[in-house]
Amino acid sequence: MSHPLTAEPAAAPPPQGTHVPAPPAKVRLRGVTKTYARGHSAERFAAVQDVELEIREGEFLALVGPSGCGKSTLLNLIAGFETPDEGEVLVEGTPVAGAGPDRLVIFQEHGLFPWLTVLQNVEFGMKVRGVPKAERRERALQQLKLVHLTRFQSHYPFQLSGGMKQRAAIARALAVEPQMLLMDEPFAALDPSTRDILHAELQSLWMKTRKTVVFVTHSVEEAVRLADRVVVMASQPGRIRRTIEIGLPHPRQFLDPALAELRASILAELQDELTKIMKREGDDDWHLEEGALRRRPGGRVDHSMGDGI
Amino acid sequence: MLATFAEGLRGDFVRAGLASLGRIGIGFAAALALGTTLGVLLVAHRFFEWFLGPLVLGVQCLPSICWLPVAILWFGLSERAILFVVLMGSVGSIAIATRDGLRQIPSTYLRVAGTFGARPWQRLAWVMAPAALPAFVTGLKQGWSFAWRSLLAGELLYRVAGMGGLLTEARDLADYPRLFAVMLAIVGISVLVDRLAFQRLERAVRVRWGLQAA
Repeated sequence: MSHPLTAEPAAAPPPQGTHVPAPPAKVRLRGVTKTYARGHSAERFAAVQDVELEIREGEFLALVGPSGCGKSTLLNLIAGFETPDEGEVLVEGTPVAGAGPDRLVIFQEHGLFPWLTVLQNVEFGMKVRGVPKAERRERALQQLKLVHLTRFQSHYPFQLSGGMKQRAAIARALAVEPQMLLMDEPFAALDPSTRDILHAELQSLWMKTRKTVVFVTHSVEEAVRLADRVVVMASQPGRIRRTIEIGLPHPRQFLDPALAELRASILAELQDELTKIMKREGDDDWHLEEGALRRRPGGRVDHSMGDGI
Repeated sequence: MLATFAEGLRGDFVRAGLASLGRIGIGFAAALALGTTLGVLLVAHRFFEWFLGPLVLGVQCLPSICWLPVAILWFGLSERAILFVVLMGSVGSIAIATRDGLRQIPSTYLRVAGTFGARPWQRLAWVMAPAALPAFVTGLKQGWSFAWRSLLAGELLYRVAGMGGLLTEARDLADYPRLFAVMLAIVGISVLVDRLAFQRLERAVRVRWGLQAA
């Protein structure tokens, strides 16, 4: 069984040597491996391999890493959309069997139903659970107020901006009072200023509700701003590289220098991950120099790949 | 011919047209019920796809007049024979429209249904059906045009009240102007139904779904 020298960090005693037992993990991933077929060949690759992770009750946890590191796979495993090939995913000690409203997922593409108004969309989850109509409406209106969309309750999703759609999706999720929110790159498709507003809104919602949140993102900046704990992942195979506690109080500001420092240190650590991505996705004349992505002299930097991790 | 057409509009063309539309209404309703069911089954399980898929495709590929001999043997020269031809002529395209509409539902919608814990019937009624509707309505339009063609083939079977009956009558009298006037009226009816019913329906759905500007 557990050899003392190979004891996992998860089994470490609580900090400061207190004798209060650590609260039981809300979610626990034990030796989780998930493989997929590569194209049409019989060859398989590990999207995540042998992942050990504990998520505490009420914690805001960010999974961050380059594309292909398996962060979305981990989220889908917790959500119950996927099942692990090896290991197990436990939510409050019980193995996950399928998706369910206790672990509500918010998608990058918001997933609002275009044939329903904003209000009807927010009511959807409650309708599924058989909440009576009057109560449903009242609770939906409360949620819309929290995300400042009351005025747009009768609009259809196509009439909303990207940020408003995502706020409506969050309201729809919170309306069923889930124990956990699983957010899969929810703000990745938004422009930076909208994203900044949504970061502030999400922080205030989280401070009010203290839901357990698992937030998948490829943006280190977003992760350090929002999360209590940042899990940095590496690719090929997808695995956890490092876990960083962010001890700063909420709400945090975009320009907080402490965040910039954290971000820089994580990015520095992920240099070799960037190299891997470049080798996979870029031309041969890409190379890394002092933490910045550049092309050889004469080349043009057409987009910042460093941001995309 | 135009004079005959104008005269026809005042009387027998209208009567015959309404008779034909009534007939196609019944046949198309039956095709809708059967076709939608088949389409759902095709998506519901791999077995149905394997078993019914080629069958539906075959029915869809077969020109509807090929059903005339069978229809006569089974139902005689009767209203039911015509309805059968209409049904067989349009059921395939409705089944395929239903299947394709259901298949192209964005996976995010299904995952949303899953994460909210929707039961299978809720997922079908509240997510899959509305999500498939725009593609389904577009398919309906095609189904209707198949039904209309089949109907006219069927109405030539024997002397009936309807547009086909008018054609037969004009042929027997070798009345060319009337023959072409009836053909013009047939074109007119298909264009009218397409514009007034199906295009409006399609547009309304697409606007509501945000797929098209109002």
